[in-house]
Amino acid sequence: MTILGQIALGLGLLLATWGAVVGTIGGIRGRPELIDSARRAVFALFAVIGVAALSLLVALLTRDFNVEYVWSYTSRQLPTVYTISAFWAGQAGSLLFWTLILTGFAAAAMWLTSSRYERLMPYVGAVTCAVALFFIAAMLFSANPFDRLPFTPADGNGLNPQLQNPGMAIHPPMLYLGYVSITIPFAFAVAALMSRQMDAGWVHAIRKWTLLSWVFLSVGITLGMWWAYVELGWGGYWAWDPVENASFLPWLTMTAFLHSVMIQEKRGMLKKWNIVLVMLSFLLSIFGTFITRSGVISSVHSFTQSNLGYFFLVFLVVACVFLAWLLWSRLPGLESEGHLESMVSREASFLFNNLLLVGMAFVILWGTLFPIISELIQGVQVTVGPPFFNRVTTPIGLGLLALTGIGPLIAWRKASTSNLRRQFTVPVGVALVVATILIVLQFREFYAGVAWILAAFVTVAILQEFWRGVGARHRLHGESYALALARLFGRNRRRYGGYVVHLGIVAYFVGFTGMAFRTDLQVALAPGETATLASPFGYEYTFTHMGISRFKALNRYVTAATVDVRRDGKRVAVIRSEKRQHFSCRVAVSPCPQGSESASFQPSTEAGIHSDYREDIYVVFAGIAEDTEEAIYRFTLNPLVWWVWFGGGVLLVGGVIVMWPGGGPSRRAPRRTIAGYAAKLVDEREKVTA
Amino acid sequence: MSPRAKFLLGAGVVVLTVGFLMAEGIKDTGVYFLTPSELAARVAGDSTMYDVGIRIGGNVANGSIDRHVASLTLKFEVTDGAVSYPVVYVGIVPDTFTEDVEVVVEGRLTRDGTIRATNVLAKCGSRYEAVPEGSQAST
Amino acid sequence: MLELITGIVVAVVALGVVLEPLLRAPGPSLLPPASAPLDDDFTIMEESESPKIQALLALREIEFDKATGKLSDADYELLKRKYAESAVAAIRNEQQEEAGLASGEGEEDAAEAMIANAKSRQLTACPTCRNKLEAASIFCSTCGRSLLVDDAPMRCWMCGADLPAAAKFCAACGTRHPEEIPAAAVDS
Repeated sequence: MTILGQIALGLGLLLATWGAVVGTIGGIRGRPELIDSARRAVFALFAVIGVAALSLLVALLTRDFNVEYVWSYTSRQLPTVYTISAFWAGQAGSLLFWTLILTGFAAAAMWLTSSRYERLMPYVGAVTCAVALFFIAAMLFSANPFDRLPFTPADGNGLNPQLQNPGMAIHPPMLYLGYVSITIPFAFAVAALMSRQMDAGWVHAIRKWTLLSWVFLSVGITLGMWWAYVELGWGGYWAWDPVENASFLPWLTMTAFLHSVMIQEKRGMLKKWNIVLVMLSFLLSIFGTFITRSGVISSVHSFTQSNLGYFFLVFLVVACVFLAWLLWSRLPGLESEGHLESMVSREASFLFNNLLLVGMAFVILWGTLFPIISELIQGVQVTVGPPFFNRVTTPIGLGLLALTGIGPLIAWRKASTSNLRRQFTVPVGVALVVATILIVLQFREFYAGVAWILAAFVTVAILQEFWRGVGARHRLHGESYALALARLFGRNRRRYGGYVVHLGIVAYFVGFTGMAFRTDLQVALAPGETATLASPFGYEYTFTHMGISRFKALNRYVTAATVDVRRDGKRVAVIRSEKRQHFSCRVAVSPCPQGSESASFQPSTEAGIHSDYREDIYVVFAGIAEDTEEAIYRFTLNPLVWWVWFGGGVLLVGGVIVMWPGGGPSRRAPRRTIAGYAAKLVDEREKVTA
Repeated sequence: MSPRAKFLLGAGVVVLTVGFLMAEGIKDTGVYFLTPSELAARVAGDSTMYDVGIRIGGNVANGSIDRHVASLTLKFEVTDGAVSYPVVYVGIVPDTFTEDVEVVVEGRLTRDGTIRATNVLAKCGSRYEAVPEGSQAST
Repeated sequence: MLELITGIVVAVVALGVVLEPLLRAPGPSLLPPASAPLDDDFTIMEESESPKIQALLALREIEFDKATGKLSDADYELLKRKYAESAVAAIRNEQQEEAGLASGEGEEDAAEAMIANAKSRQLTACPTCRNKLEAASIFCSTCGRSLLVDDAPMRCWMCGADLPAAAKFCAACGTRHPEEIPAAAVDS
């Protein structure tokens, strides 16, 4: 299927160029036939890239090992799920995948955006085409998924065993969906600047897109954490690795954007800042792809090194220069309409939230690039690791957590002392109670303690918001409490869905504090021998090595070690951890006959995990002492990790509530209400003046 | 004082705090990332290089790995071809750790010229860079 | 071979679809006119640019904020007055513009004709209040009666209330109205 794929990519290059150039000219000149042609180019581009993707998928599924990409990432024994996920396991495939999602989003944006923004659309199409053009060019000239080998190997090289995990099968697509969907808000921002339609129109047009990409990024990052936790076997989920940081950076700027854009909608402030944020998010998402794909910074993930890095670098530089010029030339149209009226207002709390988020992004970017920066300045690489990131980001993160609680409690514009008292009494009271309890218990971990106090504060603040909202509806409209709660969500899904997301974030923070209480033990045990470990919750765990078994599975040899785990003498689980040696097959037969296996990849470890909301029991089987049944184990107790995944779930639910299409109030009803209200208002006024 | 000025003041405080945290963080936790040759060159001219945190990037020397299972102790040499240093590490190493593989050793250099490692990272690729079997035959 | 043919078909279809609009006769430019028409046909209220809608939404929001205790009573009064004023102003504005739009264009000639007619009649005294008029005026400078329409209701020159045709006193304020109307002065 490589011929079809090659043709499709070539066509894609042509269509993307056409869309970018003709869309821009059509937009500037206002020529309907050019605009229409460019619009169709976006749809055609999606179709053509779809054809290319299908060709690669067919090549993968038919195991056409003559295609280099297929040979590199699959083998005969690879399960079908992972054969499909091999699509995005390698460089060339993930570029194609990126392009496919990008053109899909572009087509959806062209299709779904209301005609009221038609002035923006030619530019939106042009920008997305230009970005797609870059990716297609990178594929054609640097990493082509359709390259063939000069001969046909009997079996493929197989997929890296660490990528053979359900989390890894869906984590990259999710993260890519997040990265790529930033392009759409970005395209609207650029379109607003290019068409000089710099009112709030573009902000309204992208509202759902922004949230969509934010949710994808959040879910993608969380799945990445889960993958690292389950698969990498070091017992944690976040190592401040460059690749992880790269995914976190656009998340931070997008979070800042989500909040500051509300100030623009409500008050007409921060217009320039919002455009800068969305541009920054886009550049960081490209930068993230660049870091992942170029290996410019050494990282455990550091996938491949190739000249692809230069493509990205050139693209980044060109994009930066162009965006700087565009912004500069349009500055006069971006004057603020409102101004900050008080430091005690929701605007101010949002401004600080933005400052902290962007500050955090800067710190992480600086730390990630520090080896390069220090080499340029000092001539020697100085690296900073997790201690640096933890130390700097923890206070910032706690500040953000506090703002999560403060922001919703303060009114827009200006809050008076009396209503501050009314709003803050209960949440602060509860926080103080938690603080007192921690002090009485002589709690030692400072940051974890602060995090819990703030978590209590934020949770109570949000619950109070729900409580008062329901109460107000109950009083004003005479609705039952259940109906009032449902309507509360329905009428202002953005606000109340947002609160649900905040609750999810609180759960993440609770999960993060657990890392301060990790305890682990590395030990070699003969069968029947036991080791004990005290948990921070006061339990005592007993681990008994039960034995080792060896067997051959579909595409791997497995050595499994099993432990019996007891909490205070009562059995909680029997946990098995595996060492796997994957192999490929020298002959084209499935299953692979005895003696034809050839080992591929280094051995990998499958950690055994028993999880509940208090703590995870994390067992890693690290190896066997030669010719004995004595196993080397690492037992780790990870308190509260469960809350991180739980927070991810809550966040997703909140995001879906906000984005849910339709539903909500009908359009006519509020119009009627508004019309009636307007009439009443005029009457009242006239009485006053009469 | 106008709200704007107040905000700018607050922002200034925040920025300075973050900047201070960052500078302190880098000073306290930043470590040199060196190859064995660079380390040798630095140690020759500067005795303060002993007993401070460093990271050494190189390859595991062939035939140098010595494991003692019961005490979880691992000894090996890290080399860049020209200079090599013995490394002692207690703990579990990643699966990818084998002979000749690229490693990053975190730890400190003791006066006797051994690196006491606190962490050993082995580089893994998403791709196992092997040459397809039969490629020699066909080319 | 089959692949190659499929590829060519895809290429032809894609290029055909994209290039087809260029074959059409070029339509009018889509660049917007200098001033965009008033936007009241909103589908999503929050997206409306109309100041009326925005002010009304803000009012709705502060009602709710007050109910949930986020706004103190004093702040609420202050904000409510502010928004109510801007809403009413916006509503007035809109009504005027609508009226302007409605009476504009087609009826413009009629209006011109009325003015010309009034000028040609050369009234010397206001039919309502009998005060002397300046030359070529359209409104009475004393009572504000329009001189363009013949059957404009009679008004009290003191308080402005409408009066029945032959009234001698104003029913609202009791002001006496002059009796002697020099008919010639009115009709000629």
